[in-house]
Amino acid sequence: MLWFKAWRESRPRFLICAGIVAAICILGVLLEGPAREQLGSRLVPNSYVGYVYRLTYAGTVRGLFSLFASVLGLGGLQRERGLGTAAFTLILPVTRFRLILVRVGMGIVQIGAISLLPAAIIPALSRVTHQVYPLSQALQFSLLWFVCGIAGFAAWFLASTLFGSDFTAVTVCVASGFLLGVASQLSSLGAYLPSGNYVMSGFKMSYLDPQTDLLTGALPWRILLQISLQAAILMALAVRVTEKRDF
Amino acid sequence: MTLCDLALCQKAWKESRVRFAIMVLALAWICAAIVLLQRIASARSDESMSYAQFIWKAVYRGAVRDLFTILAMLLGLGGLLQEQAKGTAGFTLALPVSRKRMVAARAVVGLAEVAFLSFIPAILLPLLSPLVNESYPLGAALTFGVLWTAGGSILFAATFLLSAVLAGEYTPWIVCTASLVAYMLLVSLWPLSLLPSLNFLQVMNGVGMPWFREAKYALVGPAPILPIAVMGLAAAFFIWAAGAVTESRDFS
Repeated sequence: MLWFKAWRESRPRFLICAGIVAAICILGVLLEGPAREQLGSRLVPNSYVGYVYRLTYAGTVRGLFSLFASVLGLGGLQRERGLGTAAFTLILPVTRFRLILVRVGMGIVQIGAISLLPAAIIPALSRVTHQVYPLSQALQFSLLWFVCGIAGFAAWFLASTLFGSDFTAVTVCVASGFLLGVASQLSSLGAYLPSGNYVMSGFKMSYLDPQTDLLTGALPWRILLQISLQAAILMALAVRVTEKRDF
Repeated sequence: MTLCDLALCQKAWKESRVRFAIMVLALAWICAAIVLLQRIASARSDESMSYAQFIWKAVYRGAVRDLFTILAMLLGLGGLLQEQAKGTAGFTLALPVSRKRMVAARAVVGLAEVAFLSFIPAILLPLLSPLVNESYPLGAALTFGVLWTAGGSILFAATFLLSAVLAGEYTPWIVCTASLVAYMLLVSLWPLSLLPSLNFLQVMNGVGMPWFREAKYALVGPAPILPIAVMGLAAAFFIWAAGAVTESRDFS
């Protein structure tokens, strides 16, 4: 029942986000010819793999995915308190820990589904347009997206347990995301806090060959583990705050 | 302006002031960091850049502009439809003022906040540049401020309209972001790509515009009145549409 509740609460957001990601991937592949012709060489390199990479894994779709994965983290008891429904949820015969666990679980499943969409769509649809995009590449990018998406989810999840207003939570998250991004580019902070956008796209990373726009060698397991740990810490903080708070 | 309008503006201000304060701090922090850490960033860059080029790439075409566009959209969120979900719409609607005036008060406060955010780089860049033995022309910074106000108004007004149409708290923002992406793709395709002025984000940073010299990364000539006026009209239309939708909606 808790899973059903979490699903019902996040369903519109998830469906809109998944729909937009899927639509751009489908249109990007189907309209590849005219799009490359129109956009010219200034945006799109000559290979099909490069085109897909620029559009999806290093471009628009990746940007939207980072935003959407984070938006899925919003909500929870603090928001329900504002709506006046927190008491109904808290009266359920389950612990707050379990309530949060289910929300996190649902978020992870949804992020997994959205991160797999390009891998499910692009290689299959590419065959229709007589092009080839390697499935193994798409799946590896999906894994990178999944881990980074969960980190964004965790940050916004924590913010929505700290701030009563969702608008405040979103503003804090957007602002701090940019602040960290700029700080990590301008200082040595980047070594400890790798930019999620760079990790997801492989931009300036050793595991992406910029000539072919293909992932080469082993995935950055150490970085992925580091990001997963950061996400786990943020989620643990959110659990702690929710358990202690008087609703 | 009557006392009633002032009270409505105060209500709108109180509803948005926390997010607005965070936005001001964030934009100010990023602008300050970019100026003060400019030497480190330039040293790390592959290409050698002049100070004006660095500021333009980092602020007017880079992270600061991206942050500003998202923040301008966030300021447009809220309104009676969102209040309905919280059960407070009845109290607001019971006030002895028309719905149009309520919408107008929210729009005025929001647009003022957008304008304030737009001028943060214009104030900080010329002010902080001497600290790193550089200078940034105040005139150019102010013109960019006006362009950002006009561009930010469109984004604010679009989310404002979507907030009057879509009930979800985040749905208007998600839809507005997706629409912005679709718009960007559309205006980059032929034949629309032949008219760079149609891309208001490009108007905001000056790329391909007659008033921008890409060689010097500087604005030249008088402020581009026509694009600013067109962007203002587009924003006014969105706000008018939000008023019309709010007036005809049943909030019971």
